[in-house]
Amino acid sequence: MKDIESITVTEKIVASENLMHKKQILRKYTEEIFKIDKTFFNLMDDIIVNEDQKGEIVEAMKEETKKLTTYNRNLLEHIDKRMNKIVQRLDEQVDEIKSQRMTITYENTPSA
Amino acid sequence: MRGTGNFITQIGGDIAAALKIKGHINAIKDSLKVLNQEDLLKVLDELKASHSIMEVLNGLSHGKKSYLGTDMLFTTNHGNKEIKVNISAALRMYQEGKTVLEEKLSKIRQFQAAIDREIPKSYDRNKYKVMRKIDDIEANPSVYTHILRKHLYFSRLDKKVRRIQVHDVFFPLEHKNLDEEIYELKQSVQESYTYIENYRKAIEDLFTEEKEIATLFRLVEGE
Repeated sequence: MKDIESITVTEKIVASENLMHKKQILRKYTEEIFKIDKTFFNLMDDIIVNEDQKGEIVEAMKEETKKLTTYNRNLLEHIDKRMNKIVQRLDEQVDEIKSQRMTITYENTPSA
Repeated sequence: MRGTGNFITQIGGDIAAALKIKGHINAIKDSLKVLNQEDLLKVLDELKASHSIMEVLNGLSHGKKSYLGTDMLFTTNHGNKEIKVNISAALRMYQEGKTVLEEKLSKIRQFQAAIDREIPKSYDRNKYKVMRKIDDIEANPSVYTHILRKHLYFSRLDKKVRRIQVHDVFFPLEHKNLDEEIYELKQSVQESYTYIENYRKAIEDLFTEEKEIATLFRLVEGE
């Protein structure tokens, strides 16, 4: 009669791989969007020539520019932080699935 | 050749000129064929718009007009303040601003595609890699005897792996997208369009007595 036994173990079956470089891949896009925003707001720079002359309308326009600039910048900063967390979690989860539980059934075959 | 009195030479010259003109007309017709109808209309529209813009700019009151390089400045009195506005820059802002926003929207779409490629699809690719490995382990258990050896000590021929069953677990990927943030980015483009319109209105308000300023914006918009 064969001597069959089994053991259940957790084993990493695919080698780990660092996925953190994806942060930089995605960061490239937010940097480009930031540059586009900058180009956009640069278009407003030269419109009012004598900035020392402050009128109600000019002030309102400048205030609106400031609000939109801040909003866009904050949004991109928030996205960068979220992106970092997402990549970090992806890296962890991918590493987790590479370790799996398995039951190994083996036969004892004592050598003579 | 004209006025020489030589009739034959003159006729010959006229025929040559007519042929030359016909040649030019055919060349123009051929080049028009290259442009599709839409392109042609666009070109005509641009010509009309730029011509009208020049007319309006030239029509602006001379006393209030000045130049900074090639840019035209216009001065207005708002309350007791004198405000100098670079009309050329304002028109550029209105026209190029919209192009820049289109570029931003396109970049946001590329970013969205990159997130999809780098996050959920990357997870799926890795999951597929693990699943293939599991299939291989289960199909060829003896090849993976080294796994057993890591957990049990035995001499080379003491144990023979008969079967390996992997209890595979794949939890769904957490935080797989940035949908809310992408929505906010797209909203920021909409906000910027509103901002351009508000800027335009603000400049028009500065020049309430100069109706031509509003006309200029309409012309660059192509209304």
